[in-house]
Amino acid sequence: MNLMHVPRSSFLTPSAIPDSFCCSSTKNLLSIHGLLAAYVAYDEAFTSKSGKYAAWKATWPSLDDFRASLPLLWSDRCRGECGPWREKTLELDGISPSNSSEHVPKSSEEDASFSFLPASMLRMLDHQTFKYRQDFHMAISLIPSAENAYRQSPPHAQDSFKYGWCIVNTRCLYYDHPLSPNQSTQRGNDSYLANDASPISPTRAATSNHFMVLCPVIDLLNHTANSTSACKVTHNRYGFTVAAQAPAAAEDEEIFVCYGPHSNDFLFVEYGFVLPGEENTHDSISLDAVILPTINPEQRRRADAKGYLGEYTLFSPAANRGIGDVCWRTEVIARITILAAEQWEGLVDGLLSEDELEPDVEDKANALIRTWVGTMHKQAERSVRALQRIGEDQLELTRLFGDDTNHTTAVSLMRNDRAEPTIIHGETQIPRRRYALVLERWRQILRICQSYLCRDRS
Amino acid sequence: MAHDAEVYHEDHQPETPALDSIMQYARAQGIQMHASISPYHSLKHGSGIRAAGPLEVCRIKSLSLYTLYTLARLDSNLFIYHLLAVDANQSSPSGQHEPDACPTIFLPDSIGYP
Repeated sequence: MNLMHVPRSSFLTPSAIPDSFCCSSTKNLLSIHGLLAAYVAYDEAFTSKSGKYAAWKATWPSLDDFRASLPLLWSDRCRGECGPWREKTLELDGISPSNSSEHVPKSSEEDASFSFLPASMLRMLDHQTFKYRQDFHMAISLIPSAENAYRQSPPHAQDSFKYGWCIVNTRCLYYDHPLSPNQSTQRGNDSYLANDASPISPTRAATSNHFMVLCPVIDLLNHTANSTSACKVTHNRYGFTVAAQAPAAAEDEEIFVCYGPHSNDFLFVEYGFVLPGEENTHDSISLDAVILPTINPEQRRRADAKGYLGEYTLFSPAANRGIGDVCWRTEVIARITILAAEQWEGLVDGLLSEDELEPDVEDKANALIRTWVGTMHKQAERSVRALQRIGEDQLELTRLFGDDTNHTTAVSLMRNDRAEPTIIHGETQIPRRRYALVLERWRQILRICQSYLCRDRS
Repeated sequence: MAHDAEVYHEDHQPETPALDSIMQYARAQGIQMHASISPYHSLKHGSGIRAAGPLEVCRIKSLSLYTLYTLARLDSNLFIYHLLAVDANQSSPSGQHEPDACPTIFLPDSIGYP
């Protein structure tokens, strides 16, 4: 059953942005993400209460909603950048995305402190931060209204752009259907075909920037990991269509779409939420931060040569028929530390089967994987314990999870109201919401590790 | 945790001015929505879309051979849109034609019925 049809004429695309805001030649120099974000941030079509898109914008989250949920807008401390697991901090200008070995946790013995965010999230966050900063610098350099806004008030201009950028990041859809012949093409590309559409996914991220569109009403639909109950979103040259697939929906029941098979780490960084408990049937955690430091440079070189360096995954039981398990890449990298170089390469190249190896190789590999998962388990346990302690102290929670600029106000408000702790002030809500998200994610990581370790034991 | 409940208590606000406005905006933009769904707002999830009444999905039970033949002679997109329209109008538990059950027919303006 079709629930919604959104015509293409209602989309916000680069070609819908007037030349008075940004001329065609400049549009070609900007990323689509940056261009749409700048338009949302600085054009009166969005900024004025009587603007063309005011009714649409009124349904969007506020900047405070984003501040509470998207780690991109959290302070460095809150993002864990000052924590012991971060060996480097990002510079404000001219940064480059970090490689996977940057976020290396110390062992529990050498460091009793904890990280706010898991290392795998920090890697995604670095990449996102890099893209955001690049887009912002391009916008204030090339778009006159952005440049003016920045000249008048750099912090305000930055906040506006952050908001626009987060709107595009969390609400854009992927639309790659060819334009009809009587319309101008976007950036000279005009022959794309696709059978489906979904909010942007990481695998598409590298190529999809070109196809990003903002689309009214359809952008209200929230995410579910349940592909059976999710509505199907398709597109053609006329626009997007949303169709129900589940047999029935009761009155007041929310209707969802699936943004893609994303882990909660990804959902957290990109969209600012995690699916609760074990609801996410695509959840997994990265083991890179615990595995990579255990591999010597020679093994690292060989793993890299064969395409097995990094991206080691532990699946949630919910994503793997109720059984916590590691991915094939983790199985392979475990064997690099056990087998001779020729044997390992023979195994990877398919010239040697597992049966032809010594009988205890599998046991040794499993024991090693168990050690890695055990290390991750300890980190998660330490983080959950520390966070629970912080949760008992509202002042400490606000200090750690608040923004530096608002910290003083937040703390003074809380002191004034300590006799009535149930009263929630605006500035204390944000730290609490951040805290709740972080704690939930660490608890999930702990459960995923526990599930693997229990399975292995039995 | 106690303060989770404080922050995330359910508070559905189905009739906010912003959601009324977006419906008007959607109509002006030619966005077609099934009569049984509507935007809503909750503090927990922010904005979303929900079933305003019970929604039941029932696939097309049968099309006459003549209808299929007629549709197949037309351009393939037109064929698909005919199917969507027929599907929408036949989506009822009884399988009978119930236009009120789904007043929206998903035909792009640019095509029109033959």
